[in-house]
Amino acid sequence: MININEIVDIWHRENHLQRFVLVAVFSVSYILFNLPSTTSAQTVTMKTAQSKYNVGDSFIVSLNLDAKGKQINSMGGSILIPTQAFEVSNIEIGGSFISLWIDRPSLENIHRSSTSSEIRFSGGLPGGYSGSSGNILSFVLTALKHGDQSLSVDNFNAYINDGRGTALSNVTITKLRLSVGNDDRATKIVYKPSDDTTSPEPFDISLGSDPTVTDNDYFVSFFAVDKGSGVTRYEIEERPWIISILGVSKLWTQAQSPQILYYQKWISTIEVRAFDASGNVREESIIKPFNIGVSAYLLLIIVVILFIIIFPRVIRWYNQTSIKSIQ
Amino acid sequence: MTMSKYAKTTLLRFSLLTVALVLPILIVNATDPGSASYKVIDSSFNSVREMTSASFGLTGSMSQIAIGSSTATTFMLNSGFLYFPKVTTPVVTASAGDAKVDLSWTASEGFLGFNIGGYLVGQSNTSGGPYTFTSVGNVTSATRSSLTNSQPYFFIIQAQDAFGMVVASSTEVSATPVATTPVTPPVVPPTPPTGGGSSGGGGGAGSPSPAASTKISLKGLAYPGAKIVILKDASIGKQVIADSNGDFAAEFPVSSGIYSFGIYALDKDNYKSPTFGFTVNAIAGQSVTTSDIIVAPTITSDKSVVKIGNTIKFFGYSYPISSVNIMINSEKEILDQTIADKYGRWIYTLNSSLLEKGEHTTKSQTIANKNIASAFSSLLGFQVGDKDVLNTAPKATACSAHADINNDGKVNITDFSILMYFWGNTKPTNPCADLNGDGRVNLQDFSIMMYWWTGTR
Repeated sequence: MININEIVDIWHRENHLQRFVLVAVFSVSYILFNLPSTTSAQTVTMKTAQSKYNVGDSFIVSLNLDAKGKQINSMGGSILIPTQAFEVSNIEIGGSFISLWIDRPSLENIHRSSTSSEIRFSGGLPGGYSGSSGNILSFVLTALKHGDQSLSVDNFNAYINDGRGTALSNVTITKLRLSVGNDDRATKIVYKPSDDTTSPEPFDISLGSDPTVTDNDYFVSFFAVDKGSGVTRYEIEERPWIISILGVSKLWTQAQSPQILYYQKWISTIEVRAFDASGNVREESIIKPFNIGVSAYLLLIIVVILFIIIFPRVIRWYNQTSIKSIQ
Repeated sequence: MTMSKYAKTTLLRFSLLTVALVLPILIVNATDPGSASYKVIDSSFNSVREMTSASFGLTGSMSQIAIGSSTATTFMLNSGFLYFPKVTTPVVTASAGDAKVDLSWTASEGFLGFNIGGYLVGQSNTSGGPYTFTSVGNVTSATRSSLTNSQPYFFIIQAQDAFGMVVASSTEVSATPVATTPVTPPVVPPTPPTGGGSSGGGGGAGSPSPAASTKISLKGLAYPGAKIVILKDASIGKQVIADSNGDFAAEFPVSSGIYSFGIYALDKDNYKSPTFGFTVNAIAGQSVTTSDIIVAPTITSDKSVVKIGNTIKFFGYSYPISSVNIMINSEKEILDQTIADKYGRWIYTLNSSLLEKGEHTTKSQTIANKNIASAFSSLLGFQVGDKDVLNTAPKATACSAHADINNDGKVNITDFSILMYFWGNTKPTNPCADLNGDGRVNLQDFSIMMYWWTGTR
């Protein structure tokens, strides 16, 4: 029986050839049992055209996902940008593969503190994304002060398109390191977004109600997609059919999905406008039917009115008929 | 016990022999076994490769040969390899530009230990090849430049495993680069000299050439008569019916930009396939076609619980006359294959004595003509127990299955709105918004909803 002490003995007392053999055997064994895994992790990276800028330069940064073949249908996180070093001047989602936003990133939704500006984002798409260079969102920075800075992604989580909400583990997230100089003589880099003259894509408006959503009130749901500068806001107008004759309607107001309707009872035309960041607009509409209770109520009013109009005539006719028959 | 000199010598010899025998295994790539004389002993690899040899012997393999061509002057086959494609087939989109073609493809997904290491782009001037291959790394897009306008080019994409071996190949796509036509500005005649009250200018002669339309064409394989729902950016873009061959096609006029598509099928029994997602980059004035999109098969079973020793039937729909891989996950994984009939119907009968009592899952995958492999079907759970329980219609519960929060038979923007209404809530007043029942409405619930999404109409 050979034991470990014997092997140590060989190491200390025997010749170099035998030591070499021992090393070779153990090395091969180590390699065999520790072959590197061929699984490569998904990666989230921020990219920009160059790593060095000067104070006053504006440039675009894109947040990208390499899904390495995994169908990923939901993701969320925050981008942290040093407040003193950069100003966020624009956020673009037109080129994103995300169709449905939960936290839609926008300038209005940036959380600012003394140390960092935080761009929060979350959303997803049916079927998932599995490609290698998917744009999640892009943002435009203006460099405010010189020095070495880094942008990071915080609290990133993503889920696989498997119907079970399985979280994606082992995601590699890399910081973006930038160097900002103070060269007054250099030509300023100015980011110019592409001209967007295209309206948002056609979109649907869905009418719904639910007992747990403000006591079964009607609400409309909508979302639009814009391939250029991205949808930034919505407006809604409600025009109830009957009373709008009297000039009564709910004129265009800011809206967000889901939007509880103002006129719950009347049959109405609901119109929704989607605006992109360049001011292009797409308008869609839907008809909201009568509320069932109101339908019955109106029917009763109509019956009563008809009765009030018709009943005296019926009585008069009956009386005339009776007089004639007596005569 | 002190080791004798003889024992030490034996140890040294054994060590040397181990190194000599093991090292070649690390070096030799067993998936490319072309050799003048070659012997494969106790190999466990599965692959589809062309094995050509003047003489070789195949001894002691673990399963049977199913696909691939083997030619040899003399060879002896003692057993074979069971071939299961372990990766899904890339679906390729080619967009023609000025002296270039932009290619993008869906990522191949590996199973059973296969992982994708990269892709090869094959280019040819002739349909069917031969192709010239270029490695592009582990990305899902590439551009072929310096092409000749008006000449058609043909491309295929091959997925490689981590060792550089080809494990899947797309079908061929073609594109013809075209020169970009500059828009002719309107010709405005010079303003005539004023006098006598005449007005100048106006009447611009000529108008800009009408821009070519931008459109995306999708073609794919599903099941005969299936209802195909094509989501475009999460809305229902189109609903079409697959023809009697199981083929479908749809066209979308679009503006330029990146579009996210999701395609799912509803079979004749109204079972839904998983949604196959991919993105297409539409370029202004170009027509982009994505072909051979293969929808995963549907799957269900005749029993939810099978008495141990009895049989259980798994069935569903697939592309007609295609092979259907069945994978049963258990302590001991079972892999098998069946064939779909001309109506796309497939059935597989499993003897439950092969499994232990308890919970198991199964899924299926279509291998259609041209060796196109779909993604896997939804995961179907079943149990092996002490008595048979037939599958019946699901009982109506307070919360309907599959993320349909408002129970209207659709998973759409209304359900999404209700989910958003209760977003972040713990123990929401509408418990159906908590899709995974973990007591909180969050991104996991949203992910489940995205899986079952049917669209906004």
